[in-house]
Amino acid sequence: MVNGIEDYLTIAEVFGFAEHPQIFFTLVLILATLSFIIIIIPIIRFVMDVAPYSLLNAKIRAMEAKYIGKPKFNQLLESDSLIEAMVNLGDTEYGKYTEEVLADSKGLLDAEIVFNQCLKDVYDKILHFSPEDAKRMIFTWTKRWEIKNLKKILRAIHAGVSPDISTMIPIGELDVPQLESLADSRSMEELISKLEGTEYGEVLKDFLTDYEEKKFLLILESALDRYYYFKTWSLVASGITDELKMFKVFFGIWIDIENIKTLLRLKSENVSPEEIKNLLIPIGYNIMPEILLSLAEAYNIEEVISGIEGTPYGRIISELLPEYEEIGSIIPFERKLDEFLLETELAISLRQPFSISPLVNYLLQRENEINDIKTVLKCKEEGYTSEQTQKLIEFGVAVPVIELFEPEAIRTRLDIDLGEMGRLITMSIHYGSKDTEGIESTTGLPRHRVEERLRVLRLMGLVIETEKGLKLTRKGESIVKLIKRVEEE
Amino acid sequence: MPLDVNLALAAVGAGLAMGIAAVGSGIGVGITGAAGATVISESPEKFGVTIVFSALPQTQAIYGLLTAILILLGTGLITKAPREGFSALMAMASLGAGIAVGMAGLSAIGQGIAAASGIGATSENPEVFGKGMVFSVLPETQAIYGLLTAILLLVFAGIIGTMGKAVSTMVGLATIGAGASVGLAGLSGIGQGITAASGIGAAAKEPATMGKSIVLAVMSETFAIFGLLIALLIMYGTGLFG
Repeated sequence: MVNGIEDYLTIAEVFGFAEHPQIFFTLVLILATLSFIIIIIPIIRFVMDVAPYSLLNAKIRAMEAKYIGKPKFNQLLESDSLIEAMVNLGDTEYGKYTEEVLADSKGLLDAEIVFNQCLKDVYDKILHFSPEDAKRMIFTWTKRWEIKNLKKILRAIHAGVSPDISTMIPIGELDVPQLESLADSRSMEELISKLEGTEYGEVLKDFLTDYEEKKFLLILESALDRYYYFKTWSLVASGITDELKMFKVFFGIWIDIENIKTLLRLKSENVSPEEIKNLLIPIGYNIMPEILLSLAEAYNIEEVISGIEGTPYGRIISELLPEYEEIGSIIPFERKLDEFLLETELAISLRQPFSISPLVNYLLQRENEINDIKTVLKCKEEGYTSEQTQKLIEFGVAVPVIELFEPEAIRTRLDIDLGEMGRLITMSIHYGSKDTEGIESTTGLPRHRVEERLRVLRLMGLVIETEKGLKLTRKGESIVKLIKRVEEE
Repeated sequence: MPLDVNLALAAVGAGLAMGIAAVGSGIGVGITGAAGATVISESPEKFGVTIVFSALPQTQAIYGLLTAILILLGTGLITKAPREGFSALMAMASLGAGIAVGMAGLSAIGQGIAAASGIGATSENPEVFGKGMVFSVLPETQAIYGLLTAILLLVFAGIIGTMGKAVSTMVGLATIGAGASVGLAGLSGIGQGITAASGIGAAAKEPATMGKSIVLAVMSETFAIFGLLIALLIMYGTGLFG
């Protein structure tokens, strides 16, 4: 007998195993082993799920430390010229990009290209070190850039002009050579044949006949948008892990906000309910799709806002109704909704640090920072003061005349920029489409500025896009009249 | 060297103390170290901070090592002079001590998660180093409770020192229960680590949330305290001390 076993035999006896103590000891061993396994396996599984996000979180925090920060941004705002602004960025994360532009004494257009490349590099870096499941999700989400690029090409082909590759951000699978090849297309058929084998080729092919019949660009644009949103939503909604669930919240709010913006914009432009319904994304997170569609029938913007009053969005934008009534622009609503999306994502990323959220939050913040820097550079080239530039950043658009937002100021300060704006309105109507090339040759303005100004015109509700091309709104008409009167005087 | 079953079981206890605690520390340090490496790739100057945070989850393995050495000293195995009269009570108390320190040592996983968040937050803003440390240290308490229980078991079972009492062999089984109570309750350190990690993030972005985040993170502590309380009651109730 083994030395000292007597006490254990007594214990076995107490438990009723006097005859077969070996069975007792075997059972104890099995129980101990099973208990250990039952405890340790979930822990290991949990660690395997959380650990990659823990590392990611630390990496993201380190990358967040490289945001340029308020003092540097103020220094940028105070710069006297575009060159000085780029030199000021030399000691930041953007230094290697500005160096490239400064070394070749290139201008703003090249600065825009390198900053677009910078954003692409940020996405590539995030995708490189993301855990596999998060990578799949982010990759699908980034396809919005491919959609944006394709829409630019579609618009150019529709208008019969060459698309400007420099304004495209080559994030996603469609790289610059591919985009260049697509941009060379002279017709929709050619573009779709070049896209054959890609997911977009199939989508566009289904709507080509309809487009050819009606020559209405929104048919193709809307097809791409719907394809993107449905695909991404089906991915985020399908049995995802705890770490990815937060993306569903973010993307759901994103879609809701896109739909509200569409509703507000089109309502402010008096677009028919049928057209609005066609442009809404029939997916809802906090707003059910049927409510969205019913809001398309709303009489005016106030009715749209009261229709979403019970949602988080209604609460925040209803406070801005007096501002809207004063300036007659939906930009304050759009700005507030964008802020809400960013704040919500930041809150989620703090609440769920071991999830995809810090990563998405970082991408959004970085995208904003790059956009702000690009706006500052544009403003510096145009000679704006730091106060004007700050105001333009707040409005989220680079507008030549901020005063256009204030009707009283339009009467008191009719400067050259407003005249230029008026000519652009007139010309955009004259060309009857988004023919930026035509306007470019007539005004002598570079195409990126023409596009920027046309975008502003649309944002400010001076022109609307219809099936037949651009059309002046009532507000646009009154501005054109005002300019003509001043010119006559 | 004659080795009876009691000494062998005590050695198993020493092995559990060291082995399980090392699993916890290994995973914890692994998480922190990997987080540190990713941060250093962005900011090499953060190496010092990374080292400090990475050291935190190592303590659980040190507690395991300490307990294992105490057991081996108590049994005399470390000096190749097995102790005469090493009873079944002592053997089971060693097992209980091993389970207490070992399982509570798994709190290092939670500490690793919190420390990884501390590394990230400090790399973003060096001023939150102190806050990061406060949060990261929280899951340490579970391991300390495990060590405390282990030492009490070793002392009152007479494995170390001269305070051992003559109690029945069945009390030995109860000591395993005491060890399991504090050891398993120590797993709450993992939950505490996750809460602490979120707390670090919140306090770094919004310093005013520090107090509230601490309160939330400390909530997981209650389970560890319950575990310690039950372990002490088992020891007291079975007459091991008091």
